[in-house]
Amino acid sequence: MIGWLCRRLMIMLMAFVGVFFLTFFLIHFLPGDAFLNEQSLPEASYNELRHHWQLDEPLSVQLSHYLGLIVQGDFGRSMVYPDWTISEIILNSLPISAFLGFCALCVAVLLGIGTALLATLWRHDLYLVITTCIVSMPVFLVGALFQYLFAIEWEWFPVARWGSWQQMVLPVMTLAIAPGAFMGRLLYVRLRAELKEPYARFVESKGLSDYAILFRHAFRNACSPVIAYLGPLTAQIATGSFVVEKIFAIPGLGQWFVLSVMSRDYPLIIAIALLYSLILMTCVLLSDLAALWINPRYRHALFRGVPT
Amino acid sequence: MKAVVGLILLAICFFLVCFGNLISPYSYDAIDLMARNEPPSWQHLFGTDDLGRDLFTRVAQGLRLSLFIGCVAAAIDCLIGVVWGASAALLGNRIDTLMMSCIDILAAIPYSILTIVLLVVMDPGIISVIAALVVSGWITMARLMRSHVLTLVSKEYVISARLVGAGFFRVLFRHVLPNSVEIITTTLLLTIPQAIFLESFLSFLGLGVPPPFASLGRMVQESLSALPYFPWRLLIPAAWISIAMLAFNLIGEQWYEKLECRNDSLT
Repeated sequence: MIGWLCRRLMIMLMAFVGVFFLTFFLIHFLPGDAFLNEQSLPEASYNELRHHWQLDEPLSVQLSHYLGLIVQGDFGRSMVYPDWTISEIILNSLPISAFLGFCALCVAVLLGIGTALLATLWRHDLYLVITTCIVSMPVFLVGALFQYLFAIEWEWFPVARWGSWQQMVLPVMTLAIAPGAFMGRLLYVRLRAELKEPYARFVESKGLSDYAILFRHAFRNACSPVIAYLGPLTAQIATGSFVVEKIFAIPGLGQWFVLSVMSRDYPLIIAIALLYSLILMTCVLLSDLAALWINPRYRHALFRGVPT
Repeated sequence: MKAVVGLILLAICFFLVCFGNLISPYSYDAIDLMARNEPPSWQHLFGTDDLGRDLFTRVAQGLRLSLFIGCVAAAIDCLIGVVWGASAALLGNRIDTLMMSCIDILAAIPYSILTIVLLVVMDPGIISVIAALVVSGWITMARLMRSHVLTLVSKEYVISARLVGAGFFRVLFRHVLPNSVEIITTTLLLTIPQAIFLESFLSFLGLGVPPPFASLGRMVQESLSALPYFPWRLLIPAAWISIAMLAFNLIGEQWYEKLECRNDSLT
């Protein structure tokens, strides 16, 4: 267990370093730089800007510069928006994305687990068909459909922007519905398999009610894949979804990464990439530990990659 | 039953992909400024966009692109994943640890960062989209394959084959692969809809196959601001992405359940 944890932490560290080198070297292969788009920039000012941002230095100097920045934890200012520091950009947008994501996650978990339990009690495979249909809908279709129906056509909720709780309903639902359906079907399939196990038949023959079998025995055994899925999902949802933020005009972190890559804003790209991978790795590790804690049998899958 | 519905949907998609451009009198990039933003009618089956281009023809062309990229990317994913996962499990010990560590490191990098940065670096085009999808897509297949082969390695027939001196490739092709057909086909069928979705997501970001080619994700993104007035311009292309994904998901699930039942009856 300790050895496994050490190995995981080593891998996390290597992945972190990998992300840094990957983004650093790949983005320096990108054609153009942050200042090339600005029109009618005199040659001298362009060179001045490049010199100020050390873009005319050799890669090794820039590399050590960025390494220094990471060690200090301060990425300085954005190249494209020099009025803002990178930390300001992230601190302004991450809480919005994280809050939105947290709400969506709660809704998704409640919806997914709730519907899966109900479907198991009723033993109905129609549930699988419905969840398959929902999982097959891309997030921009769900978002656009919700926006069109509930905001434009029926005017139940505001169309877009951020601030009040009414404005949160549609984006939260959009973000939650596909992961909820996915979790629900995962849990349903596992529950159905668990109920066929000998121990479930035994407690049934003992005279336990359907509810007791489900909640006291089957659920606990069936939920570890769901918890393992929650890790990457949390990271993905909490760092902001570009699509949802674009459809509903929410000033979250999701748009910043795409924007920064498009405008070659090197410090911002590297900062967001490192932040993303840090969040992803932490969430995955935590969810694996939680799955292990709930169902110790899961360690076969975790430690050796062998299915339980 | 699910598979039947899935096959019918898939057949509709393939019909649209193969014959859509033939039965439509319009070209996918023919601009007609007299017929801008027209709602669906017999003239234009799915309506027209803001440049008067016929959406039926564009959807047919975009769907062709989506299906092609989805299927090719999923096939390459599975190929790499199967070879990597099976090799890791068969070679064992040190090499196994090394190969799986590579996968763990790759998996710890958020796929959005990997794909977006790669796509911006590479020249836009079909091949770079496929490459960007494959870079992070093969991990699932490799992990599944490894855990499956680990259960096979301890089976008597693999042990005895190795005892009589069968080499790595003989064990792989004669014993491991034929016994992994089920997991490979299921994963392949369920990877295709994911690849289709990711392709449309990338072209939604504007990183997909460049214009004048029609791509469904880009059509959705371009129509976003016109949603209140011309909803069909967004909903129709998005619905076709869903239909294609749903078709593969339904077939894949039915296939999975069928195999699961057979395994149940065997044990």
